[in-house]
Amino acid sequence: MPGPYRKPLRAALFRRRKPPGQQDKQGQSQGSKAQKAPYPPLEAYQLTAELKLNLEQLQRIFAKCSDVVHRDFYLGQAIKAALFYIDGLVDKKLIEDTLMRTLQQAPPQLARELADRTRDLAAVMETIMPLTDVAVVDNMGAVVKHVLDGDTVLLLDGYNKGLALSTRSWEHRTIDEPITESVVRGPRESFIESLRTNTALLRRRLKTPSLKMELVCLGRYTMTNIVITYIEDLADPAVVREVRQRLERIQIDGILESAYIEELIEDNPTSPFPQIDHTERPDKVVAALLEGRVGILVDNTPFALIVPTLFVQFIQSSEDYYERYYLSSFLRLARFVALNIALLLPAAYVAVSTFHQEMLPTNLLVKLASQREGIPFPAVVEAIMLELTFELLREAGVRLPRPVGQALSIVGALVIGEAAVSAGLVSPSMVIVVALTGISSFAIPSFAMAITLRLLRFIMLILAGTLGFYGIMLGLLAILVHLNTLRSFGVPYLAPVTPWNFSDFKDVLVRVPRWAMNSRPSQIGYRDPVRQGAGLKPTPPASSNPPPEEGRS
Amino acid sequence: MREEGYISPRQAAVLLWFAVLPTAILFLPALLALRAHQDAWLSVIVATLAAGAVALVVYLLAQRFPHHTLFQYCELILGPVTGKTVALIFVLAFFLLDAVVIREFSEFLVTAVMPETPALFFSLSIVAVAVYAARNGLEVIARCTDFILPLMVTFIAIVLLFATPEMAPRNLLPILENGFRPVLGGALVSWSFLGQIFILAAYGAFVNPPRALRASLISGLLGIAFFLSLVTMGTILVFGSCEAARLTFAAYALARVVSLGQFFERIEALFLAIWVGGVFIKITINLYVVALGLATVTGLKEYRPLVAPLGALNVAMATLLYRNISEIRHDLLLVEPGWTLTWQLILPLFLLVMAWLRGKRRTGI
Repeated sequence: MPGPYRKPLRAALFRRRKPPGQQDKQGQSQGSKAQKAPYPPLEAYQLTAELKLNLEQLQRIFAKCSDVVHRDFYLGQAIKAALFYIDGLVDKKLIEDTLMRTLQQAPPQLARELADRTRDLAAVMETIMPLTDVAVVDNMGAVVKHVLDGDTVLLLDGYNKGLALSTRSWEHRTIDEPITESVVRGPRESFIESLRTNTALLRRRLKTPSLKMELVCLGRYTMTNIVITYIEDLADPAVVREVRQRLERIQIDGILESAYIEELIEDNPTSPFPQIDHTERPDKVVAALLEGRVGILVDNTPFALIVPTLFVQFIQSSEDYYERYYLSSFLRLARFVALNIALLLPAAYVAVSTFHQEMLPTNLLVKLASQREGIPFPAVVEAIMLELTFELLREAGVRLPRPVGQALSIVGALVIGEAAVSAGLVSPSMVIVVALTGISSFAIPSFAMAITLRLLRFIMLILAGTLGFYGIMLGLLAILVHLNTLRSFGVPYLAPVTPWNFSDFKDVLVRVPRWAMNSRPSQIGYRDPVRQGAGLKPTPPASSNPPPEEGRS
Repeated sequence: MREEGYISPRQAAVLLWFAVLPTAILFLPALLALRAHQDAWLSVIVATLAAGAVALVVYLLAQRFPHHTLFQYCELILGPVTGKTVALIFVLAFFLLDAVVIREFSEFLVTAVMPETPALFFSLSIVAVAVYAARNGLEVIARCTDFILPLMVTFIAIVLLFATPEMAPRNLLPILENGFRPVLGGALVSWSFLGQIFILAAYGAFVNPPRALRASLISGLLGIAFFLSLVTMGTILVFGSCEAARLTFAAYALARVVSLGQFFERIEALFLAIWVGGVFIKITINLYVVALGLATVTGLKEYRPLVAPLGALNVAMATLLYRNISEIRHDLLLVEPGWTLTWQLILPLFLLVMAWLRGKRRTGI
């Protein structure tokens, strides 16, 4: 066992971890020349059988941590014992009412027997431990980790191992309605900041042992627990492996939101397009898992990541699957139109009014021209100005407290809608265009995609203002090529449109009825393509009163 | 040298359409009307038969050397020195073809849409995007067509459908007024476009499965012939052969006449947008082939570093090639047929014969 615990240097914390196999090989080749790392990790400190030593080490590690509680007591008046936990992360009632009472009031006979004869933690667990979720820990690293996770660590004198008792319980938000993805019909639960609650929300919907939840711990200081969840029979093992590898690659001081991870595991980190979908709806994650996707849950955030993600997912809403399919299909198409409007409408307006007036019917052209008369700016400047104002209003509206926000929207509407037009600074038609664009960008279910389009809209505006339709086309071609280069965990981003797969079109621009969705998306759920039994389309039962037979009427 | 991506036979055929149709649709109807008058659509069919010969040669060569590009089997057939020289000729030919396309593109935009913008600007901007696409490989180019093709087909269909009120069947008559000579002359002109299906020899090695190459060649050629004769026929039906011969961009003019109920009219800006998409693919695929070929000839492992410089050279070449649009027309009418006949039919035929004589083939890789 290395000497007393010393705090490692900051630089040593971020030294690239080598895979364990490689380290072993190096150790063997170096032979007897055993190199001791200057700052051994906490895992290298084994627990000793002497409680006093262990406590000294632990107290040194947790020095000046006022929220750490350390309590010495005698187990059954025979064995010296100590409890370590963090106040606020544990269920104190459980510890005091159940744990302490049981341990302290254990029959001394039994305790002495345990201490003298067996020296086996298993015996302790079997005989007097009142809690169920108990893990055996044998080194300081594990002890510290468990304490920080909200477990209570029980150290016993004479045992060179400790017990980590799961007593986690802390204040958190109750399960709420999803704010960003609210639906008219459908479950109203959303994820919260507690990882365990979130996994429970998933498990409640998927009662199968095939639902796997692999735990990864990331963040040198935050030690954030991350769960990779997938259905073993459906998910592509290559994707799962890839997710695991990309997560394990991450060396970072802290993870506060799933966005941290998203940016670190994307396929194309320089792309403006979101390549990983996130949601706060458990039902959406479960639907994704059932398609063979992989979910990533992060502690302390109500947003789960879903990979692989395709472009079409950003115009799909979970409500599509809960409403009648005619309406869902119509809304899908409407959203697709909204997506195009959000990206292109101001650009197209500028292009038409600046370069291609001949495209408009004469009446409309005259109307527009008369409106634009006296406007002191070219159309593109006018458009950029109004768009910027709109963005500012929106941003201010997000920041301000709600009552003030309403005042702001009134002011904004007045300033933009009325004053600017009557002052002759902008044309009314431009206001209509910008408003329509704003509405459309709100109609896109995914906020991540909407903000991407907001940015690209400005680029398209400038292109349209300088080159007209040719500029728009250049921009669109560049975007098209870029989208085609994107992949999300190996799956082409624009699937199933390209690479073309007709059967997957059932869920792209339209949503076909449930009884026709017989297969999983071919690029993602190919391991088990059959989703449901054939011939599920309901048919009316044979009539209960058969038609009268011939000649008997 | 290998490209990591593979394309499906359908994508190969669609790429073939895009490698021929965009410029052909714009320029060919007028030229054909000039040469073959009202029998222009017959010339397209005759030229299709001739282009079938190219397709056959490409197919036979591809069968002898599956998984090999044109530039690779040049060397396999003729040995390192001669082979590399011939491959270099092909690279140059594709390079020139690309330059011509770029020039045609920018000349059209300058003439028809934005007369005050310098042509160089259009070439530069489209090649910049094409370089970006070509660097990303054949798979990406092929996938881009999946979006542009439906637009293009829909647009052609809409234009032809809504132009029907303007069409006069009388314009097609009398058939074969002056015998077969004008038709053959027109066929020679359209040949210089249709022969460009030879480009499949360069990227056919990446079609998976390789034995489907025949299907993509046939469907590619038939699709081209179908659309081309349709557009040619439409142009002549609407304008008549004399009027059509005077229009430089007949298909664009066709889009101009479309009108539906005082609202759906003047859709030439839409034509412009979609056509730009089509030509973009054509420029990109040619640029890709040039870079791929040059990398093969020079023995580079990667073609990607070559794309941007070649694109820049292409722009320069496009600017130097012609003085004005009438030179392009003259070139398309008189020079291109002979030149394309040489490198798209005679040279490959020579390769095929040499391969047959020397008994070269690579199979079972």
